Amino acid sequence: MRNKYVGKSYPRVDAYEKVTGTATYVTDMFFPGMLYAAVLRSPYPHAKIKKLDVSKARELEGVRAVVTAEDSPYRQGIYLVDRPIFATDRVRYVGEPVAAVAADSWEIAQKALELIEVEYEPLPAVFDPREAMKGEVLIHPDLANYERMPIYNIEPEKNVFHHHKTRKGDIEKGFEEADYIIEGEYYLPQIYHAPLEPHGAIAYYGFDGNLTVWSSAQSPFTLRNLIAHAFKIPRHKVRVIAPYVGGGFGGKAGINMEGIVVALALKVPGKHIKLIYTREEDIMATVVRQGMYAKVKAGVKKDGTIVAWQEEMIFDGGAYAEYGTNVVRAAGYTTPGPYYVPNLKVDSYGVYTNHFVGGAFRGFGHGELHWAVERHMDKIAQELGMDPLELRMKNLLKPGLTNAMGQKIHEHTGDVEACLKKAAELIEYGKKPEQPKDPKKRRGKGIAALVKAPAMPTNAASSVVIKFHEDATVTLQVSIQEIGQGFNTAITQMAADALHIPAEKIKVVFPIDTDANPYEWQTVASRALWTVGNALYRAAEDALNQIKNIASQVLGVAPYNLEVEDDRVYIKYDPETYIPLTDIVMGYTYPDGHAIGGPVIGRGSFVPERLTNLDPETGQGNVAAEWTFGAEAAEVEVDMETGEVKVLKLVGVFDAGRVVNPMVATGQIIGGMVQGMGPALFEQIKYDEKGNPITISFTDYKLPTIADIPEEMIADFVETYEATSAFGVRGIAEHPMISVPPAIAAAIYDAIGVNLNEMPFTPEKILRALKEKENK
Amino acid sequence: MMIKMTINGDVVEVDVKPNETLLDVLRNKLYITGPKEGCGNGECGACTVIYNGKPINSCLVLAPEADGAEILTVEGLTKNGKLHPIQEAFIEENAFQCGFCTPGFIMSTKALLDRKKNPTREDIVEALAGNLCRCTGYQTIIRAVEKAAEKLGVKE
Amino acid sequence: MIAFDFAYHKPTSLQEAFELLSEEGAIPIMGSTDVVVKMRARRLRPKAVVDLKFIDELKFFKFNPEEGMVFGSAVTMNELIEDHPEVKEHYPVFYQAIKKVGAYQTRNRATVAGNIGNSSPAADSVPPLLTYNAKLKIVSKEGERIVELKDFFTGPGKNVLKQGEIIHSIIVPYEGKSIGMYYKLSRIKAVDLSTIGVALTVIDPEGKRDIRIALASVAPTPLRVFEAEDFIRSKELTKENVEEFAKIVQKNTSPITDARGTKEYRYEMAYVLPIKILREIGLYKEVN
Repeated sequence: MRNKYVGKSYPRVDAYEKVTGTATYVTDMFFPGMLYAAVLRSPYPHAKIKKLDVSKARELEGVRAVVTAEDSPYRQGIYLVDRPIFATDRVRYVGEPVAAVAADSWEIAQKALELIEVEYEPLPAVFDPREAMKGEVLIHPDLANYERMPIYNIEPEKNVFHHHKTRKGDIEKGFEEADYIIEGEYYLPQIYHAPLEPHGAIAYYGFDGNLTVWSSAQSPFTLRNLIAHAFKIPRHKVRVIAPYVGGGFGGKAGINMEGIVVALALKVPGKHIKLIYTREEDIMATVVRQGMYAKVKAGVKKDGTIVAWQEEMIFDGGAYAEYGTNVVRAAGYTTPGPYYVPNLKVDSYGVYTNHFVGGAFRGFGHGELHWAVERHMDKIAQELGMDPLELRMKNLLKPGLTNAMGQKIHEHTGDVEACLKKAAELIEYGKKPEQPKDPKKRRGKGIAALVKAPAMPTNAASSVVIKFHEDATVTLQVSIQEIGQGFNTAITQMAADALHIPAEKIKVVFPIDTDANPYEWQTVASRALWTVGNALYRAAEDALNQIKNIASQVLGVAPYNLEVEDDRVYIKYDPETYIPLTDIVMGYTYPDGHAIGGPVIGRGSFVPERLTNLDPETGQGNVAAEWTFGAEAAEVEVDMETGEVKVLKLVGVFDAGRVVNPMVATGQIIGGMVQGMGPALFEQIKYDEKGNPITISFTDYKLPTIADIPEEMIADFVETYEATSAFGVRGIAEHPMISVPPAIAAAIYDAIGVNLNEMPFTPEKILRALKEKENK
Repeated sequence: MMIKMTINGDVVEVDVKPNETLLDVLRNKLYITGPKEGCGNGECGACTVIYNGKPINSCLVLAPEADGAEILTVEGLTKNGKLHPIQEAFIEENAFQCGFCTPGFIMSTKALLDRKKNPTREDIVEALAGNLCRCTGYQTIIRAVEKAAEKLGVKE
Repeated sequence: MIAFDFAYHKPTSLQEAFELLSEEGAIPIMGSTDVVVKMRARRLRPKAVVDLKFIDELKFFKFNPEEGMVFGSAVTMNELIEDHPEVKEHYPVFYQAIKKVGAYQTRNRATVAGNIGNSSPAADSVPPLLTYNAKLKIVSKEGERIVELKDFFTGPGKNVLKQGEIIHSIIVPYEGKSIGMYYKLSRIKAVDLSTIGVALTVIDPEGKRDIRIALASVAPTPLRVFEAEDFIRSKELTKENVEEFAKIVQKNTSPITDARGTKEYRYEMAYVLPIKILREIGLYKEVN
């Protein structure tokens, strides 16, 4: 493989479309005669549907279809099939779809909704997962009968959709060895992804029985799979086309609202049906990040060595499990993050409540687990009177040690120590911040580490097809979605190096079309360059071998004596002798007209090597393919009169393996850190005391604006090449969001000496904590 | 009712209803899809267009009001396939990721640089605070605006 | 897109507007930044909207020390900020506050009259205008009347305007040099509604030092606290007096809990912020 493009800040290949407004998103697509859909939603967090009458809506002129659970009695779910497309006997959250309409115009569809008659009988609801575990209110009485992947461990009488257990070493012995037992409790609420593009989909069901769905989807193939499974349609008759996604962050993975348009399309063959969620619908009725309550008990030696770690994480999974099952599992098997602890007992529970549906969110359980772990590390440091960075350094997961599931850490796994050192250097850790003149304002610094592996099934596969064209240009077919992360750019660079041709001669086929593209599991888990890179390497080898085999016949030279470079294939020991690629890639034609070879099409597949499921009782096994370590640091200023926190500086350092595109990777880190700052300071889905959501628009659910960002943000890398990647790469996409909140919390402690153990750190909580400190 | 607007230099006549917004008409009737609907409430800025010389949220303008208006959308920035210096600066500074908010940011930037040749960081923040971006963390957007100002300054 | 039908009118004279507004279910609109949001959410379902921004008579701005500042209801916030330096010079607290309303895009459409007419307890433009003793000229078919801004609001989203009446202009007397601050606490630093907003204006700071204070988001209507002003008038700004002043401000508030903050926090800030502002504008040196 040559080394010409990887490592350079190659300009983004989607740049022109995006800066000119010509990049197409689902919402920008229009078809002749297209119908518009609208959805009737539950106003109750938990209620029985006593009566549902859509007859008047059906009679309205311009209405083409009205569907309810009666017409479309299907359930969906990626790991646990628990989510009906339309509520059946009961509704389980505010915003749950009850019926949908397709009409000639959006307005007619809206009018039809007002004609649907529903009678509800409110049921007792439960909003705190700890309460829900008592089982007094059962949200899914049929849970035991739902179809599910066997690796998930349900406890139906406790509303638990997954209970993960880690048992490593001897926890009791660990506590006996400890000099101190330090306990803590930590909480974070549900938060919302807030991609700027709300979810949207268009469905078309042909009279020939073929279904096409255009969707703002992170996972076109998994979406196809889940639609086919839910509606019982053969895979080859379901086609998903996924144009640009205007931000996903996990929220557009799997299946979301596509089932609604599909149900309508099946009723109106021959018509395109479009449904674009409003911002309000997007907040209420897609997925959010789960809330979490954590209880930690750590056993620590006088010198700071942690010898035992016991933790219980209770996730507020909302009304349906979605990806939450696996979020709970990933958080369970990764705790206690980047630290080595010989004796571990971790229980992670995913619990149904009558809140919005919890699902995948950038970080996938790791923002949650590190919130508890990193806060608790600070608490330990405080109680021991030790520097928090020193405590961390002492307990790092280093080569030779084993992580929570018993996997051995190697030199090539990554270097968390180097990340922490670099982050400490960049934040000038240890150097006291310059304090403002106003004595009511105080500054401080904090640091936190992190680790994350892709959370995925052991067989999550990728494939790549490389097609050469007459002029020796190439199209690359790969089904990772371009959601803003820059995948199409990075993979172009990697393909150019793998094929030894100029990057300008390569185009990534877009949009993704499951009828034409090769299989890809999903665009999630920060695994794309790693997994697709491996498939690409094989596809490139395949294509190059085909080229060399043809050239070998023509030149009478063994294939291993040939090399491809830019526009030609030449003899290694006689570079002046070559054949232009244009004469080879469609097959070679001799002067007399007879031809050999044929069009060069390279194919490559990859499935992670040597992964196994975890033991259900101990959580030991080999489920993580590669780990990315990182460290983040913050400097803040706190106004002790108002409780306002201003983040002055953020630093993120990640062991990315080989960095493919520094410009794009830096962009990911900066963006991820700001996305981590939002929930640290103010983002939160709020409900009133009756469980009604009160933050369902951008007026009430606030995101960081350009006025909120720190003046200074620095991204940096450690590059320990990843041995399981043909390109030496590993993921960094989710990681920058993970440890920003604990770093900010640590900085607040450094500034004003109070611990914030509940996100977000609103001014009110800061003041309350200051008062508690005074009263002590 | 029929209204007449000048959009990106072209005179356009279109039949609109009071319950449609300018954004609805641009997107769904004229297929000018650069401006995006991110919230419909004037909170995200993805629908920003320059309306009679000023940046506004087109989702909050009732369509009939726009009769006689002069409108510039992101589609009107490129001339004969050549990018505007602001667009070049956004590419060079990597000031976008998913791209959905980008047309709005570019139009807010255009309006800012029309009124201030050398904006300070504070000016940039004020002009762009109404445009939400969930991907970039804004740092590169600030740099892109500064670079665009340089490019436009050099040209004159 | 709004889910129901309504008529749109674009009068170019007040007479025309009066006729249109006399129809039942007709409402006046200006920048439409609040109205469209409410109609989209179906919280407001007018039969007709009467767009007043094309009435030339409502587009004026004037300032002279005798009459003060008078501007028509169609003047946008950005016009006040950018086109009329008198606003910043003579009414600095008002200037600070309108710069904090919404986004730049919003302020190109939003008007102060609209902010007042919308009558949200969180309206940022209102507290400073209250401290400057602003008045409204209200016109209708029947004639005109002048209403003190402090008497205009009757509850959240409610005011003394009758069907067919519109705000013609805002009159802000000029009482000499003023300093002060609009302190807006919000969840994020821009484009947010206030969790609490405090306008503290000092008229003639070197002379009679008339301290005035009004607040947003702490009561059913924007609130001016005359009692606190009376207390502090001609008193020295000692620790004791300033704290008592802040206490009086606080006890006049009746905040609620909503998505932006709790009543407890708002109540506490109603005490903290007046003191903080006095310190930040340099009138009070004490640090507790």
